[in-house]
Amino acid sequence: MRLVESRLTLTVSYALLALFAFIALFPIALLVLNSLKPAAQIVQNPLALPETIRWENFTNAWNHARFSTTFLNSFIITGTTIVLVCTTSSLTAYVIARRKIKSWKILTFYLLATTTAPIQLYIFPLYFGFAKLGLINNIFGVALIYTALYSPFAVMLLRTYFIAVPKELEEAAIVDGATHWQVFWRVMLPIVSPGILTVALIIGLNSWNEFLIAITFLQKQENVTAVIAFFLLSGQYSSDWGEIMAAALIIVIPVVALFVFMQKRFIEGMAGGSVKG
Amino acid sequence: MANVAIEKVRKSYGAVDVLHEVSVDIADGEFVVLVGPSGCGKSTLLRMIAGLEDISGGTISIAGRVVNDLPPKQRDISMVFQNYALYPHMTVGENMAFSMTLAGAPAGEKQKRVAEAAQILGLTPLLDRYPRQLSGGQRQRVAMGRSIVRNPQVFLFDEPLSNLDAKLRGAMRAEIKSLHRRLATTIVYVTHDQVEAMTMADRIVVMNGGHIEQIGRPLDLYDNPQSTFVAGFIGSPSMNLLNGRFDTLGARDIFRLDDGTALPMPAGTSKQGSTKGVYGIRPDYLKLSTGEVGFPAKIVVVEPLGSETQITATVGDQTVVILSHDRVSVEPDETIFLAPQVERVCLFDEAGRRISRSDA
Repeated sequence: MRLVESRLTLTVSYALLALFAFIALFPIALLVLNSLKPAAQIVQNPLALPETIRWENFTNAWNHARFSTTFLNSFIITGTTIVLVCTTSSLTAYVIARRKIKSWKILTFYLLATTTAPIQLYIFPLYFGFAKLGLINNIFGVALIYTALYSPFAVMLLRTYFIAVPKELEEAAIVDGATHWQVFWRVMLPIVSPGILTVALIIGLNSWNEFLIAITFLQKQENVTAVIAFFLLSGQYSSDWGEIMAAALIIVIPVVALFVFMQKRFIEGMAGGSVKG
Repeated sequence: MANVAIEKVRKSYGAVDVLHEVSVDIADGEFVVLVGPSGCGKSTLLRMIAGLEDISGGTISIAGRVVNDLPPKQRDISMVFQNYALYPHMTVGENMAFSMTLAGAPAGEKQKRVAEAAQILGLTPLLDRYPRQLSGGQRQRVAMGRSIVRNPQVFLFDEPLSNLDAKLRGAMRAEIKSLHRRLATTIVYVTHDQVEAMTMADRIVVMNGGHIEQIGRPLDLYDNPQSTFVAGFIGSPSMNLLNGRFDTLGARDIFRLDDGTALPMPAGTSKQGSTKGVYGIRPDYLKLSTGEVGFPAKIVVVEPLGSETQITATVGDQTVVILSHDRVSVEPDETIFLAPQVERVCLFDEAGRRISRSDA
């Protein structure tokens, strides 16, 4: 392969990329390093290699943050949010992308506008509303808020995937005898599946890491999420940093695992070959 | 198998009419090609037969049943799209079987019908591949296979060969034609390529601006175009259409071009009160004459093609194309004399309508 770029361009771009990679990876390296050290050593020198490896940090973190319960809560909230967002948004996006109804441009604009509204703006009214409905301390209630919060983004993203599908595919399916539902379910959905996967991944990450709503709406010990439990590890007067680092690492692991696992499918282009490319 | 009757069909988008009371009768088992320049409404008409577009007025019936308000799947038609429209997530076999899967057909029957269609089209070794793994021609065949499996009463083709290269297009043309002979199903085929229309059709419907210009057998259209549009559209290179007026020279009727050149008129052609008109003669029927018989023209370009030589020349300020099947040795800027085969001349009035010969 002949490279078009000059050697200088290549050197500069690699240097820059190396810098970015370092910036991205340094905190994680620090996290791993310090999660293996006793608190006293961390305070002494956060950058030093551990003198003794302290695995108890992990067991302590697991027990103190009650990860057996809080992880389950996080999983339930994240899973419910993903399922709700993906089903409702894919249907909405399909309709917005395909059914040419003039006034629905307003709806599209509304969705776009809502992605810019900060949650802090309406968290109080929402709280009182949920309190009236008895949904405080209900993890499914929180999943519902996340769904509402992330749906506009998901709809806008999926809309572009649906628009990219050639109209003829739909028409071919209709001529083949498919109902509108079958067109959506058996033709459109498999084709936009990379988009849905992307949405699931982003929404999943967001809900897993979400803090403000979780801490506002979940106040009982037994239904807090992993992130909140992690936050509660740092005490007002003293914190065991080794334990906190270990807890942070435990929280990050599922996310990293998911990305590594999904990476290949993520990139895979499904639409190739349906029509003349 | 079925006939298709299109009666006074209209299509309008708001105030814009794209089809004006179009009527065509397509017989059972006939291969009809709708041809015309882009935007003439041919694809719209096909999509109306398919049920993908609403019908603004008139009726379309398939096998004697008015289908205006029936959804596509109840019309018993199948359609092949220009860009194939194969389902990318299904294998060739699944693509072909999709309509039967939707209808809940038993697996055994599905397999049998797919195997039959695959055999006809030579797709058997490709049944487990995905569309992205196929070449353009193979994709086109799969799209046709998907239609055959349904065993419809009418096949609809929407410019199916436009995305293929010239060589493959020729091969697929022959394949579609032999497929028609084999299945004997009614076919409505849309194309903008008059060569496809001429080579494949039993009858051609020439459309222009939402109207039907002429319906007829390929050679009828070639020999007897009823308008300058059809004359210019059918045949390649297209018919020479020279502007001028009807005149007399002594006792003889002649056609005088704008620059004064006199052209001979076919016997028994009346002027029908029109003084201005158009003189149409196909490039094949303009002969290079030896000696000074005919009218003079100045050569612009000579294109030898082997079996024939195409010569572009000017008469006054109008361009004529001559197709000579003999080897000729002429050079640009040379003046030649052209003798039209008078019995092959088509005369048109000022509005571009054919002037008939009968009423002499």
